[in-house]
Amino acid sequence: MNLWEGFLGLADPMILILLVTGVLLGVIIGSLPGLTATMGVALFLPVTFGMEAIPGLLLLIGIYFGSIYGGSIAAILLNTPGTPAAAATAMDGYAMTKQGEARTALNIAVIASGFGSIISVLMLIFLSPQLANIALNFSAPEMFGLALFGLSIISSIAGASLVKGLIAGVVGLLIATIGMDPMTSYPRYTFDQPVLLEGFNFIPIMIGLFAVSEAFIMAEDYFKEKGGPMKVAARLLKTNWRLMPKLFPTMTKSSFLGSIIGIIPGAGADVAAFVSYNEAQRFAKKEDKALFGKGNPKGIAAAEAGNQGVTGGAMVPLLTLGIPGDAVAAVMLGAFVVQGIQPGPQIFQTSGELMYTLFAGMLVAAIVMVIIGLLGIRLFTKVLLVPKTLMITIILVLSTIGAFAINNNMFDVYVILGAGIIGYFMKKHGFPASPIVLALILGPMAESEFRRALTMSEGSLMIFATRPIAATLIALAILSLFTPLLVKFFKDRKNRKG
Amino acid sequence: MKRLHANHIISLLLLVFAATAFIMAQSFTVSSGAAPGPAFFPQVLSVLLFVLAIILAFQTPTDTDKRLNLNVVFIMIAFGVYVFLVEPIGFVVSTVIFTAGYLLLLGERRWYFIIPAAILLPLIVSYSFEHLLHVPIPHGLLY
Amino acid sequence: MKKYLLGMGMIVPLMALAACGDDSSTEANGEEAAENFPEKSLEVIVPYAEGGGTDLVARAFADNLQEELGESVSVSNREGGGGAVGMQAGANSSADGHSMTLVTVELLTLPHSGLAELSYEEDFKPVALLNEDSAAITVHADSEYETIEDFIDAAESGESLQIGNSGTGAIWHLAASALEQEIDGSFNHVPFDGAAPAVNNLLGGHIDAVSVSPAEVINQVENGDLRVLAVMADERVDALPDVPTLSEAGIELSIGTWRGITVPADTPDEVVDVLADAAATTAQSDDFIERIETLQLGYRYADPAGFTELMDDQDALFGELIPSLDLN
Repeated sequence: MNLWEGFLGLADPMILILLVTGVLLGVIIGSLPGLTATMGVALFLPVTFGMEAIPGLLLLIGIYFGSIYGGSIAAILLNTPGTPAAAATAMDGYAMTKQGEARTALNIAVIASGFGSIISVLMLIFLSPQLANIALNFSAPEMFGLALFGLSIISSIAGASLVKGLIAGVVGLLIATIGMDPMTSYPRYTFDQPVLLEGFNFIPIMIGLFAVSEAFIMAEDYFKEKGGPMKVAARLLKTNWRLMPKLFPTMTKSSFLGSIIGIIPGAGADVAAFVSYNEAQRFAKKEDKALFGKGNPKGIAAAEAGNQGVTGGAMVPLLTLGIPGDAVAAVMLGAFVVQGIQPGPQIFQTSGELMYTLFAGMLVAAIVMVIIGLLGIRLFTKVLLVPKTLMITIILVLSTIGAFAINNNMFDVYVILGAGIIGYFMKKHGFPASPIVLALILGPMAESEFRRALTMSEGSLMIFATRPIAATLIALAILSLFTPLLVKFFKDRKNRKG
Repeated sequence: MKRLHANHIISLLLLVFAATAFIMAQSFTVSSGAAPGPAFFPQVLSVLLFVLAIILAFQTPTDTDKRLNLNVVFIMIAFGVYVFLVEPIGFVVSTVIFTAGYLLLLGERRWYFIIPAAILLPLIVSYSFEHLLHVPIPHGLLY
Repeated sequence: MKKYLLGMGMIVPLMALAACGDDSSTEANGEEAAENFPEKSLEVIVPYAEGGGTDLVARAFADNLQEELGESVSVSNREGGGGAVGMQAGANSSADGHSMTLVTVELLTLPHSGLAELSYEEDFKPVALLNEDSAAITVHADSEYETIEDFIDAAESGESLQIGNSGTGAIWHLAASALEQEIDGSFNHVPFDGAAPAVNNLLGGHIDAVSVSPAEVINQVENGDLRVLAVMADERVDALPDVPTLSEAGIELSIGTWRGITVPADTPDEVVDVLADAAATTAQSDDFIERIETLQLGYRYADPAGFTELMDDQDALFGELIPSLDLN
């Protein structure tokens, strides 16, 4: 009933206009390399200072939803994930584009994103107090378990060669240790360079490995073929709508998974996308499983529903405990405080009416996002008609300015150049890029939570065994890491015998 | 012994990388109580990488096109020059030069395509970043 | 191309000349510069990200100073190095009063930790102190420690108390370490990546206490989930009037974070005076105070002399404390 009153609170054309503006801005921010959801929300936070609470917060919500979804567009069409959360989407999304299925892939992405945000907002509305306990149960040992579980995905996204995938992962983990040690602040591998103290930001590395190296590969193909527009545009198939019902179980499961991960403080949309992707792959049937990474629609559905599920989840600890669940939620906390609203257990008593209007607005934002996404597909696919020469140039220019925008400094721009060249040679020699990105996201989390747990237990490893959530996650991680290894081992033995 | 192939070279590079990382980590000495210190993770990872690099050396390389296309090298160098010019010269002017130069380098010869692209791309990007998204861009000496 | 290179060749010496001219004139014509100040738009460099507490303080100040001076005041965020990158950029910015830097307590702690080559005396001139937040020793509401004395007694009787902080070497870790040195016992310091996860772990009952700023726990305190045992300040904190200070428990220790406006050290004194006057009016305006209080931050204004005194005192404290902690 309260929610209904919330919808009534939205009966103002201005609010709808702000929501549409927010989502559109978000889609643009998300699809540009380097501009992430966190940045988008932070950039527009000062704009909301002069607004009323509801319109201001909903503008930011629109940007948040839009930018998480927007990351998938460039990932699918150009293999250049706009946000880290879309790196998992690129794996199957770009493969589908190469098969002429760009329209289907984009439709799946937007529907899965809508699914993710609606399910997670509903969970936020109806189950917040119960779910808040999840956040409280996650301490260092549990966080380490989650990070390890995320890292175990490396063995399933390794691609053709398991060794090369693992090498990429371990190199990524080593790069992640550069900079001030998260636990003792000791500078590691910094060569006395102040710029290295914060370590390598993983976003420019991701832009380099995906976008810049993809531009180099496109240029190489172009020199070989001298083709006009991009090859894929030659056969842009119609959307395969009959596929959608088959994806609903994957989307539902990933949406719930994403929401839960969103609730856990410190784990955001990027982690959710990879974990959901891995879970979809792990429970797929044999023939279906082999298709992951080669254009399986389920891969996109899982990654997108998963990363969008975080949007509602991250708001749970923010609103019920006053603790932000991820970086975007931290900026949102600032937005609430500036409006004079104190997130915390009493928020429903002190600002109940406002909360339900906000919730209703979040549901509307999700619907606006789906409509904009569906309508926009015709426009997005036009990107494929841009002459290849110009497309290569545009990708490089946007990567440069996007990398600069992350911290307003040139160092990140030099990183995309280096990572782009390395990424090009990695592709030539069959080393996958996504394990590096995954390792950069989860490596610091795994290391610091492991050491934090041992600081808390004063050195006893038993802390990981005696806490049920931690023990379960670590067991799952080991299972998930070694299953592909064992499967491959037995297959090889069978082949040798046969 | 078999002929030297790509995996041998990569493996060798990785072995040197892993060994360097391990040795450097030995100087990371700072007390952190009962928990492992800052050297623990880097050293575990270096050992892991060392082992993986040895395994790689014994694998036959995948059949990819190994010949380095000279045009691609030029493409990389040109992008590198651009990246280092953005800050001193400024984003807009350097992008005009870069766009025109890159299109020429990629074999584009239609002037009625190159000129509008070289002018519009930097203007649209700088306008939307600064005014639509409130993201600052470097203007350098010449804008 | 040749022409262009020639042009570049001309520009460099010209710029060098211009720079020299500027230098000599600022020394001699400080008075004239002060009369004309401000001549153009101003800038506040913030060494932390958009949307954080420091950024919000800077924006509240910039908005109000803009009205005071009638010139636009922009905020530019230069993150990195735990604040070192932005403060270094601020120290190197043009010394004409138009470029200000919002510095924090890290201006003192980073150099002592060997993480930045900054000097509050040689690189900056203080303009106005805007805010101060003292460390608050906070426990769970269900905790057996009702008072700060209970807590200290437990530590002195050899119990291993886990105190969460926002990162090793960060101000809240230094605060807990300073307390540890004052008592006859030791803490098990658990560093987190920021204050929010530390508070979350305290709420979940995974650690015994946290030392963070009052703003970071006040919601949970008001809701009855957490309890502040003491604040490390000379006087009680407005936001927590019932909470005793450490000195009430017999420990003379005042430590916490603060934020203030500075300009590069070479800025002419006459210009600093004009700016400091404008900053004083701005920082003491009702609108600014209200915005700081909405953000639940501790309001404290000090003029350049008071600001210098604060930094002198704290620099001496950290100069002794940090080397004794074996951080690096």
